[in-house]
Amino acid sequence: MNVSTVNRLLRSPAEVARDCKEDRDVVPLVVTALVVLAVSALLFGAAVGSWRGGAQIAWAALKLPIVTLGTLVVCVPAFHAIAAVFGRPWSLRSAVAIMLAGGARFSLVLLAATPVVWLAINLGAPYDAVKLLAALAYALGGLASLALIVRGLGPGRGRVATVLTFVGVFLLVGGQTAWILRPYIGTPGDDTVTLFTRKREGGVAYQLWLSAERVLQGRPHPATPKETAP
Amino acid sequence: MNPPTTTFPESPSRPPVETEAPTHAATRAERWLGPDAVPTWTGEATRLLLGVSLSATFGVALGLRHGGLSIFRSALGVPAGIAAVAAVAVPAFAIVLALANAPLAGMHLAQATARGVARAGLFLAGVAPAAALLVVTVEDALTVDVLGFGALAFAGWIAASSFARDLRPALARAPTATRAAMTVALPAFLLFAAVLAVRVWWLALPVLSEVR
Repeated sequence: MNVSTVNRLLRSPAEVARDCKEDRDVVPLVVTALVVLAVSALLFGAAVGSWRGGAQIAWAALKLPIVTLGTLVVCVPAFHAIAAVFGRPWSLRSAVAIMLAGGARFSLVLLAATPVVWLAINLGAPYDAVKLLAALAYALGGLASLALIVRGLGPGRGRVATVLTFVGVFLLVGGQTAWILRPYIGTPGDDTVTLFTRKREGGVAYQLWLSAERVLQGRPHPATPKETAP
Repeated sequence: MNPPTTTFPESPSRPPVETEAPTHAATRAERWLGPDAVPTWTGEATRLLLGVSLSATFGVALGLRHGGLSIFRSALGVPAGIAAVAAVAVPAFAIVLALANAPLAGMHLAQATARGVARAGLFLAGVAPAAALLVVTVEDALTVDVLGFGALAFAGWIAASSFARDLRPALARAPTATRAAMTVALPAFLLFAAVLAVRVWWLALPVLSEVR
């Protein structure tokens, strides 16, 4: 892992995107990106899992790098194809490098959000608030990643169509990958720690909507145990 | 009745697609999707077959919902929709073009069709892994239908816009009457192609019609 490469990823996304596109010195960049992806997602997962504590910290820390890397693996062919049909027929190698660089930028934002999430949990944030905070961190990471990808696409016809189509595919794949590997935070009122759950819960968008509704109305999660009177 | 035949001496013998000659070593995708400087029937047929074959991967992804024979059926069903348009709708459009005396050679049409199919096939192959993930893990059948038909419709739109874009320069050089006829004929062809493809997919892809 190279600190100067991490610095470039954060400060010079256009330059990094150009190097990826022109297949210039991408091996160190890709290695750094993979390390950053894995480590950042692991730490963010651990922070999210600390809401339940115990084994949930380890499970969430293990699952979030899988979610992030799995989403990238599934999305790379889509990105390559979408860019090609909208006028940017790059090599698969360039597409992989841009996706990994974008993924690394995304993970660095997650890394920056890790202490915020941990502090919120430490201060007693409820389940729904932690879920929304994690979703917000993901959204911010996605925007940072998108900035690099847009610069990589460069000007010209088909850029907007490429971005919109790819964002659609990425949201679907990312959301579904995260959903099938849940839970990360744990479930209110349920002290058992499970690696996976197969309960029918309606999907990631529906659950985020319910959480947002409860947070805005100041209601706790229905499964939250009521405090007993002293 | 046929309109009076007009000759087009300046009509080019090669498709008038813009030459997007790459200034660097062309990638595989660039060779598949870009125009050939000297198009040949064999080359365009290969490109068409490649696009149709690539689309089969999306069919495999859809078939994973039920597994078994459904995989093979869907792997044939997705290319069938595309092949139906290329084999049935495009020849019909060629007749309409000839009736309207449009300055388009058969090779123009073949190249525009092959490029459109290659683009649609590449797109479907690219989103096939994502489709496989969603088709296998999403509980709701309606969501799978919407996503599956959505991807196929989007691929159709990609092919249609590529086809129309490739024909536009040649049609722009046509006489006013032909151009006026084409403003109706081209959208009508694209609509017919879309309906034909959707009908074939509806019949050939059981996974997309399970919520009936």
